Amino acid sequence: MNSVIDSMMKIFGSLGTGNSALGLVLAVVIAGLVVFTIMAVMAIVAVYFERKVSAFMQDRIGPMEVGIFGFKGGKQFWGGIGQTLADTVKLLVKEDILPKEADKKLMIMAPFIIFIASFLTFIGVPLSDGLVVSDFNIGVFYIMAAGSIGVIGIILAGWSSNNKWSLYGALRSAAQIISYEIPIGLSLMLVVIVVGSLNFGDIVAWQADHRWFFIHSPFAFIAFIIYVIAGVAETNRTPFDIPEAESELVAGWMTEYSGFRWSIFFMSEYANVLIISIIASIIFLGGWLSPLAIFGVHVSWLEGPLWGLFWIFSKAVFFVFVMMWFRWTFPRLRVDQLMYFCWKVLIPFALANLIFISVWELIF
Amino acid sequence: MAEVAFIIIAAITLASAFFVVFSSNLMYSGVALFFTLFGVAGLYVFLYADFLAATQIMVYVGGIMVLILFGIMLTNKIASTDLRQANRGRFMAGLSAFILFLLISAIAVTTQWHTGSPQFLDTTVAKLGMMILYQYLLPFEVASILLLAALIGAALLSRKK
Amino acid sequence: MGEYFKNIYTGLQSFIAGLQLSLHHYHSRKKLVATLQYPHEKWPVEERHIGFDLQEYNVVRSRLHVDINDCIGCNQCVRACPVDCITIESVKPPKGSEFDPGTTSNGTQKRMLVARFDIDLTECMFCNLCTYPCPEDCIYMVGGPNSAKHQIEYEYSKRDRKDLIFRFANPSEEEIIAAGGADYLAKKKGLPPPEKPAAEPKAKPKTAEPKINYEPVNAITDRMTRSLAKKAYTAAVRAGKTASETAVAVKQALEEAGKYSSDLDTVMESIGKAELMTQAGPAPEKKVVEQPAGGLDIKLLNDLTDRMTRGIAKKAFMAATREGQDAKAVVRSIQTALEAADKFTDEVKAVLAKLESPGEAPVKPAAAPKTAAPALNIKVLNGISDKMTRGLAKKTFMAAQRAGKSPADIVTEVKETLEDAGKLTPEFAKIIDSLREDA
Repeated sequence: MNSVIDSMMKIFGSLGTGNSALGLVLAVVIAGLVVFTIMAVMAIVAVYFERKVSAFMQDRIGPMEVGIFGFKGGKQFWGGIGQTLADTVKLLVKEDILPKEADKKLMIMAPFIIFIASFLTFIGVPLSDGLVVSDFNIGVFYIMAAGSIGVIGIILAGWSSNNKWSLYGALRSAAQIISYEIPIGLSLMLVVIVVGSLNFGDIVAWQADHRWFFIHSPFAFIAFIIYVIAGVAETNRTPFDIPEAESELVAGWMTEYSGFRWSIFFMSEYANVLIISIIASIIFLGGWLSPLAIFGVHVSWLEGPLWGLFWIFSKAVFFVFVMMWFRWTFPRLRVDQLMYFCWKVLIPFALANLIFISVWELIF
Repeated sequence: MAEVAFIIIAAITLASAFFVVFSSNLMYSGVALFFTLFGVAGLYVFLYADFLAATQIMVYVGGIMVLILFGIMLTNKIASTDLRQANRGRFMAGLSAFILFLLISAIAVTTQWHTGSPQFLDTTVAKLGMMILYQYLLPFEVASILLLAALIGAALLSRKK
Repeated sequence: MGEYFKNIYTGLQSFIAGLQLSLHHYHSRKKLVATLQYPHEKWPVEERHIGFDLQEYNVVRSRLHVDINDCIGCNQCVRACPVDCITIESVKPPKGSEFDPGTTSNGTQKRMLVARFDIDLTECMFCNLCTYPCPEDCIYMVGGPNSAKHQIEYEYSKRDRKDLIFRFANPSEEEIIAAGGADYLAKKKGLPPPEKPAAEPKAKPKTAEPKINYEPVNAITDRMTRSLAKKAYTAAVRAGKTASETAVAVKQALEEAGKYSSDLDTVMESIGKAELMTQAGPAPEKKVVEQPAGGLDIKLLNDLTDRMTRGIAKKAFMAATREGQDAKAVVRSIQTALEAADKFTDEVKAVLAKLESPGEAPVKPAAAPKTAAPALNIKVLNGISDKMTRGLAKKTFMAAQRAGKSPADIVTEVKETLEDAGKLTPEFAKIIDSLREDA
């Protein structure tokens, strides 16, 4: 047990407040604020990144005009760094509209349920060695469970809006998320079988001792690919974005939302992208281990918690880029194709993987 | 500290459970059930049953709840926000609930509870797995066969003739 | 079953092919990018060619422009305009005033100062009717046959509709007052007309302001920057700053407005070296008027401290020089004029002595006339096959030419710009070099 909350409580205890309850509340509030800040900053940065990447892939240059205190960023291509900040301010001061015929109580509640889901998930995600808000024994399972809460929020948002687009979007989204949770769970189960623990720290420690998981065996590599594909679907991103398919459903379950509530949806969505990316890098790409460890080279000054943070974020950013890369490459799937792909391709492969990896573990 | 947290969670669970029963809006009942199930997961955490708590959230909140909400939404007029439950037969329902309550209380009072200081388990997962696959293998397999049969039955029923 | 795996295989194949394609675009963004950052860079637009000879007939009619220095304020265009979008207000100097409104480039002596020349381009319907009656050809549609005078301007978007009222005449208040337009100015400001000293209306002759030399500032190509620069420049010169101080002031003003860029360095340098005031304008006729055969310098009379004395002296000086008297006769006539007014003092004597001996008079050299670059033929650039490169090259070419650079400079500048943009290929370089040979 080596988590941020624990160490903060230790610090508060040594300061001699003597009141452990107060220390706990303080630690929880601070940790919550930090997680919230990470989520908000991540959303702002990711939107900028996404706009630039999409622009480059489409032979455009994206936002170039808005700067922060007159500093616009790079001259030729990476300009306009203040764009999303300005957009955020615009979004927050926008009028908050609740439709007259909507179920207002549920409509107000829905974004918070979705946000709570991402927030709870983030609590269990380690950002470096020992840098986790709360270190769970059942880390992997906890994240799967906490992540599944979000569906409720989506369904409520879609139903309470009293709008057919919203409802269809919510139905599609729920069906999709529930379906794609299965291949994600099955591919993560591979790691659990090999390592014999659900704890993220143990999983990374195993990879440090042996080898990174995506080159552990061919089955692990297939599981890795299945995880990335299903992860993209889990975050409702293109090519799996039928819940908010613009051309048919306007904006899916977010259609009736605006202003602050919509920005909460947005923030949670990008937080989910980051969570999926971080978990992919922890479980399959060695988490906070330096990439040199792949070749058996251990440089002592490239390790430690801060470097771990750097490595984990560079891996996560790579995954985020891959997701954007997918988004601007592939056209959207049809609903039946989506279900076919999940139930008839990913799940059989994931199940077969599970059997094969068990045999592999028995043999080697 | 732990007591305060326990009381808050228990209160949330009970209050939302009452809401589930007495609310006339079916959708609100469904949403209240979400909080009840969540609260129960919280109570599991107080019993050091972390795996069970996560399973509760995963299965009930992430699965059953979604199913219930789907059911409510799709069996009524979709576009209508006016979903009402009639609460008919209150007397019979109250009677059966009371009998159930008496039964459970009787069990709770007569059972020999294990007392003593709480035992801190480092990880419950391995123990659980062992118990399911050795000690309680038969109920486990029966449950899985039941679920499989239900799955096949559902697929058969929903298939186009 | 075989088909199932085959489908998965083709799916994977197209998956990878698709990713490769978008990654290719991501990596070669610098080459493939199609966006033009519009307000900062624009396509140079060639004038349409619909069978007419553009040099004779203006097909585009993009925007009206007035060379205000040539306008004599005759109001012909106002009368011709069917939609009344032109407004002219002019101030006629009172009889006997020494104010000189200057001459047009055709050599016509102007009779009045054009205090306001507004064209409301939101109303203009581009009928071109105003351009025909103009006796000085100073109002015209830009581009086409007039492209030598003013580059074609196909868009002039503004943030405010008011900015589409182009104010061509912008004389300073001092100039208007000097031209005897105090009444006009007061009316414009909504004040009662200033009370004239009725007793001696002509006893307060206005000193003719020496003209400010705008030549170095005019080298700035961007319109807005130029006007900003001019404003700062005028203010600095009026405040009596030296050339280098003026350059600093102008630079500061531009930087504050966020318009300063490194290409303006040369302009600032030229300001730092330039003569701020020129007694003699570029027109040779003017020189004759102000610097008579005797080579006398009217400026020397500025040494006279008493205002009235100075006025009388100057008047006499002008009258005498216009009659073509020699130096001594001029001095004598000044002397008699002053004596008649009972203003002849020792100070005046000393000044007149100075005036008489031309050797001591500081002779200000007239600003060296710009050597017009031997016209390079822009059409050579049409040989560049890539559209974007061609546009960039032409833009740079035009800008350099407008800045009055030498042919060699123009060629190197065009090449440098293309190189910066990563567009310079050996083939294009050859074309650009041939520009010079062509000339």
